[in-house]
Amino acid sequence: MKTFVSLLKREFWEHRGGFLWTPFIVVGVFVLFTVIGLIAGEMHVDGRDFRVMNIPLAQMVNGMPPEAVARVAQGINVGLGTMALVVQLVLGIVLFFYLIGALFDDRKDRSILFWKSMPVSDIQTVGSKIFTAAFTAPLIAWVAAIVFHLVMLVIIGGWLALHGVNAFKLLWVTGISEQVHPIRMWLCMLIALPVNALWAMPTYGWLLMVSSWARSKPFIWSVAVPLVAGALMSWMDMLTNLRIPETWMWFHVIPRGLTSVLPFSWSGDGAGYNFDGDRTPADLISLGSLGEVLGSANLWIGVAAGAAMIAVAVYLRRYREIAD
Amino acid sequence: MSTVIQARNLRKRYGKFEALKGCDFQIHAGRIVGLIGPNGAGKTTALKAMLGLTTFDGELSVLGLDPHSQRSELMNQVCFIADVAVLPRWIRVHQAIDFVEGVHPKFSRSKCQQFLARTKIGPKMRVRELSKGMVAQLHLALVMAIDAKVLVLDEPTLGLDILYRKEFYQTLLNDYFDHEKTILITTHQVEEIEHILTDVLFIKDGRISLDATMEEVGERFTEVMVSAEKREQAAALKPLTERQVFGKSIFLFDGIPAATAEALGETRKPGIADIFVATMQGAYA
Repeated sequence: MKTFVSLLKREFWEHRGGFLWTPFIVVGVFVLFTVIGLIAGEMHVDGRDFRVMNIPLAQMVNGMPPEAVARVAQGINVGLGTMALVVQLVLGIVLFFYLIGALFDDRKDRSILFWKSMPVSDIQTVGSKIFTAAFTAPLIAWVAAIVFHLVMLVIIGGWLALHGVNAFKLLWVTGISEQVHPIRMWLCMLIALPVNALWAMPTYGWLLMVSSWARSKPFIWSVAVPLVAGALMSWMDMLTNLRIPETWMWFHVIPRGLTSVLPFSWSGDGAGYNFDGDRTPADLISLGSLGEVLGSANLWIGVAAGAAMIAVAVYLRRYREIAD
Repeated sequence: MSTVIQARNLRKRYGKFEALKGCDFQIHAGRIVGLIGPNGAGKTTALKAMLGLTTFDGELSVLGLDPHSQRSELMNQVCFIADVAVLPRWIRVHQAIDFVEGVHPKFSRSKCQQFLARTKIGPKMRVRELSKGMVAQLHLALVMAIDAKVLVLDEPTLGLDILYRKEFYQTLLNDYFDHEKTILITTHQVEEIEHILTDVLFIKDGRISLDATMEEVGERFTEVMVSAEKREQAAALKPLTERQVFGKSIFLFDGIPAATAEALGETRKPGIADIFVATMQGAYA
């Protein structure tokens, strides 16, 4: 236990920039652009004419029809969901590169000779990397998303106040507050951590396996092998059946191995994001969405494939020597 | 004397190249053993096998464990410094200490800090900011603070200046070594460690070519400075080498009686380096 905690700290120390600073910097940049946007808006538009979703600001507090209330509430929900998803996307990209380097970088810089001189088993080492990808980094991103929400609400509230609109009144008097649920969203994102981890298992497995196996250029290997394999299969298919290439591999296997590390990326056909129709990021971050994915065979097949590849990564960790 | 490391017909093959061609040796507790050989002779391969860093054929046990399948258990008892400056470059000194304390049950933080207090290394420094010599000092401080039974050092001072090298071995001898510990060292700078060794293992072409205690080495090998008139007489006694200095010949003999040697001329105990050079002739041919 003490060993595992030390291993987790080790991962955090090494990747503090990616796990801690990156999400907060991205949030900061978004906040900055929002502020710039608001200032630019102030300069170009006459303040009295401001409209939010086509409703003049002044009208918002007194006498908004219920359907307008619902529309504004829905707008806020989508906004919160989108902000959360922006942070999650950044997290996914950080994790992708973290996993590619996780079992490779220390073989490259020879520090594996130090790590292996400690009484730590290869299973513990690999386990600490998976735990970091599944919980440490996502927890930090979770905090970043909440900070993002709060800061944006404060900014928008301040901007409304500048125009004589009391944001609290707006939320509570009109009944918008009954339809906006940030806390529920935060809780849902927390509950989603293990679900996202299960969903990401095939990507954990594939990237760690390549990271553990490659003698050089793990990024090229991890991306090129699936792409070339997919292309060859499509090619074979075209030659033998003379029909449009099989797309199953492209939609199900390859994205699951490469991009499932992006949180909530299960709304596409087999993987990825799909916001067709009236689906929104807010719908994605919901208990209903979690329940749906937990009940899908897609998730559990991925978990099995991921576990097998993780086992290979552990095995390779024991046999692979330094990469030079 | 208890056996710490035992190898029987130890072999290792990299593709077509046979790095170890069947080595037999034993290393006992409380010894400081120098594993000495030219580049490519198999030193590092042998050490890697002992540390569980590579697979091997034949029998090898370290403290009764199979190094490869039981590496993490073995590392409770065995410490190693493989190569200079393998500490991760991003880590800070205090993080390295915290980490080793967290994973190693036999690590003593206070000992480590005592060692570091003698250096210019500060707790907030990152490894990448340290000079190569300071990285070696840090690594040694971490390793010496672990109460292990066996310490393996593979070229621990390569590329360091003479001050760091001297200090490195002095610290090791004065503050770490005792009769329950075993130290196994490989290095190219044989002269610098020969006074601290109790045993030597020469390795040549993947085989052990000399396995002796320092006392045995002292008894076996003799260097004699022979004047020109006795040169042929000496050459008949099958010397290992002959070299010319100021018109006289210096012969190195393996196992001739002291009286015979003294009759030929002035005798001297050769250094390990001289014996090494003599016995490794043709190693690169």
